Amino acid sequence: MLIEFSKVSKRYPEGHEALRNVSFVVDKGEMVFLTGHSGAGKSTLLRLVTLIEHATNGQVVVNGQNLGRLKRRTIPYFRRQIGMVFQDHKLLHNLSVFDNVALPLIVSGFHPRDLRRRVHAALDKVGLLNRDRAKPITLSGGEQQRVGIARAVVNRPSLLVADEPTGNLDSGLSDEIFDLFHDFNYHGVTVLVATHDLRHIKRLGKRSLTLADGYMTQQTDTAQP
Amino acid sequence: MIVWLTRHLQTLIGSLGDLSRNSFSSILSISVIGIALALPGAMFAALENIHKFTAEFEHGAKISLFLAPEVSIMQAKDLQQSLAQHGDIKYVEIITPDQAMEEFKLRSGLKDALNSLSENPLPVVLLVYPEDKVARSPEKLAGLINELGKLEPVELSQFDLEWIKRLTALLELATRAVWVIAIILGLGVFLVIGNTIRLAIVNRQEEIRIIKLIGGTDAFVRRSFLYSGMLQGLFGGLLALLVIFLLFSFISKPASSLSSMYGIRFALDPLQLLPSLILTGSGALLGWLSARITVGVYLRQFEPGKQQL
Repeated sequence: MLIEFSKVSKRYPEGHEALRNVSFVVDKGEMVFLTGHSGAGKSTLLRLVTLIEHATNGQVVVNGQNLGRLKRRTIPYFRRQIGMVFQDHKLLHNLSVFDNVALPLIVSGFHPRDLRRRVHAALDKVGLLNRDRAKPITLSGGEQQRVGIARAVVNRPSLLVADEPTGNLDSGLSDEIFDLFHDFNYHGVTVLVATHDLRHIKRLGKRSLTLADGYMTQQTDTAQP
Repeated sequence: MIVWLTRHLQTLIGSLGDLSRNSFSSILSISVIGIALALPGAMFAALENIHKFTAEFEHGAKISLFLAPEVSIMQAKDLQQSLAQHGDIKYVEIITPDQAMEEFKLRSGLKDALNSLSENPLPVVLLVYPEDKVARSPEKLAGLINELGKLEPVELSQFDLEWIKRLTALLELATRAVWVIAIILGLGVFLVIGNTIRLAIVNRQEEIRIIKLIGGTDAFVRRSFLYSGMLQGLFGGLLALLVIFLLFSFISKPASSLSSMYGIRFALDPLQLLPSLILTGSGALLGWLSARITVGVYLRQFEPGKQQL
């Protein structure tokens, strides 16, 4: 298995109980949706997976690593195994599309010789190869999110995590984004996507986990499309 | 190794780019650094020149031994030879009363009055040139003068020692004062660079968070700030050199005409190569150190989890 939560709780310092006693497993190569109303704890769960936050109680294991035992200085190396996609893209607006996508490679000390090829492959995958010199601000919302996805996969991570990646997009563009995730999953990447858009779960026929008020209320098997 | 080098080169070029993009504020802070470094640098250079200037005097340091009137030239020559054997003395010159009279006539303009003298009243004078190591030390020089003054045929041994003593003490004091000023201004440079780095960190906090999210280490984030601190210090140091150079070329003419009045050929030196390297090097080092400390203090505040994503 790739992700395992055992009786995980998360209480923020100000007292808000975001996750309560959550247990679940995501197997290698799976694509799993995480749903629930806003404030149900979806983002918190993803923040625990990516070590932006630490669990208050319980155990989180990702890629065989117990996250509670990871030392602070090893966190960057852990994060390089995960591709992250955010609702607000989190692109650097002073850099070109190419440089934004290249950033994870530069950060991890990738050999400059192969860098261009890797970045172009990732951009090609999301259909933005011809916009590599553009600044992100000149792109549409859907295109910016595709740049964010290219950046998330350029490192060829084993796990792709996305938090409401289509929150700001209309349904046609969302379909494109989810089809991309589906395609990565088809090529072996484990995908965990938080969304409140139940339409995609049905359409793609994948398993879903439902959170409500911090509790995991439902774990469905693979839905029938 | 190649990867490591390329990465550092990329960061260096990136930091240069950042400096040129924020050209106004970088010019401002580099100017402050330059002026702050130029001041002690110029003072050190000035002290160095004064040392050189006084060394010119010390080189010509000589003790005049006025011999008693009854001492003959033959006796004086014997004394000259025995003094020349002395370990602290480089050589001894003899001035006969006739020579002294000729010179006196030339210099004083009292030729006619002096011609009317029936007999030369001037004594034999020995000019004693001490070894350089003795000339440089006021204590040894005083000892030598004292020793020579006690010799039988010597009536008076004269050396204008006091002013060299005072000047040496004054230079000592000035050197210490310049060190204090240098340390205070160095601290100023340190704080100026620290502050620009702090502002840069605040301006780039979003970028820092994103880089950490995609797996950038603290060292990676730190690197560009270290380079930018170092570059600011380096450019500040170069600017300081330029300022010192202009300053010295501005005052070099009056300085050499002043020294020519003392009969000394003296050219004002701006900083030599080594002090110049030390000045720019310490600028760069200060910048690097300041950035290192500032980044260490502020970087942990921009962990991805510390604010909502």
